[in-house]
Amino acid sequence: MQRDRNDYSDDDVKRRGILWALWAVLMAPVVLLLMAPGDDPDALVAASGNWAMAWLAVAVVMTPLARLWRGLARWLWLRRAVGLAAFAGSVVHLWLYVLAMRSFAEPGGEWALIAEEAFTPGILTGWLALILLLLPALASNDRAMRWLRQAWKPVQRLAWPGAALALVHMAVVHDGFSLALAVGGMIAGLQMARFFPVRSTRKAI
Amino acid sequence: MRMILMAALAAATLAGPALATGKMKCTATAEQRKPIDDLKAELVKQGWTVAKAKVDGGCYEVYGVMPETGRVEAYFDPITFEKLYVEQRGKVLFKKG
Repeated sequence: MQRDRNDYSDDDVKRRGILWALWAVLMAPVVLLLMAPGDDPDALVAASGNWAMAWLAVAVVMTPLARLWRGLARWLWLRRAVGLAAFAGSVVHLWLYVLAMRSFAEPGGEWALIAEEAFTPGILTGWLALILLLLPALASNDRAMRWLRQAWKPVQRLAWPGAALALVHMAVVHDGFSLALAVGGMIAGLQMARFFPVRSTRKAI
Repeated sequence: MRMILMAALAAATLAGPALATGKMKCTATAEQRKPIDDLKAELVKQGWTVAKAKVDGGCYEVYGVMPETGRVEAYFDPITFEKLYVEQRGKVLFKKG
């Protein structure tokens, strides 16, 4: 039966409240960046991108981490807030990029500058990553889960190529190779946990 | 197994930032370098918009908009102001041979 818009239990409301609160906490570093922007627009663009990448990395390692620490498994539903914070951080990153380009251009000339470099490896990977992350972000709600049914998981898995492209973007756009390697190594390393059998926390008697 | 995984993760985290990112090296000493503001003025005369200029690897590194090209990161010899390297968002446009 289709649930009505107002037909939510107290648990649903509480769950939503926790998700929004966590999202707000995760967005705080990005908001703080905007409140104290400094005088280097490129540094601001890079910092916002790093925060978005950090939350994206956390979102994609939560499942393998829950195999290492089984107590985390019951908190996996919080991944929605982490993923949405990563996407929102990416949108802020894009907005700051446009503002940075505006600071180097004649009025209205930022779009020509953006178009000029759109197909360079560092920028193209960023655009593609954002497009891939858009779909899982749009589908990160209960209504989309009900509507998409079995297709919901494949849509969420687009976050994987999105994360890979975001890492390449981070590596090549401006001297970010070592940081991208560290984050990528950590993500790849934790994925190995998916192949280990889950151990019981209780010892056999 | 968990310990091995943790050790591998720690190694990946520590090993990453240790890698160098320097692109060009110039051997001129600080006394030999011409003022960086002269380079900026020269580039503005050529139609550049200079966002930032600093010393990197002994060379002058400039971020800005290069005419007919767009946003670039470029390296110059600090004595002759000769162009050594130009990169646009991960794409090398020029490198002195």
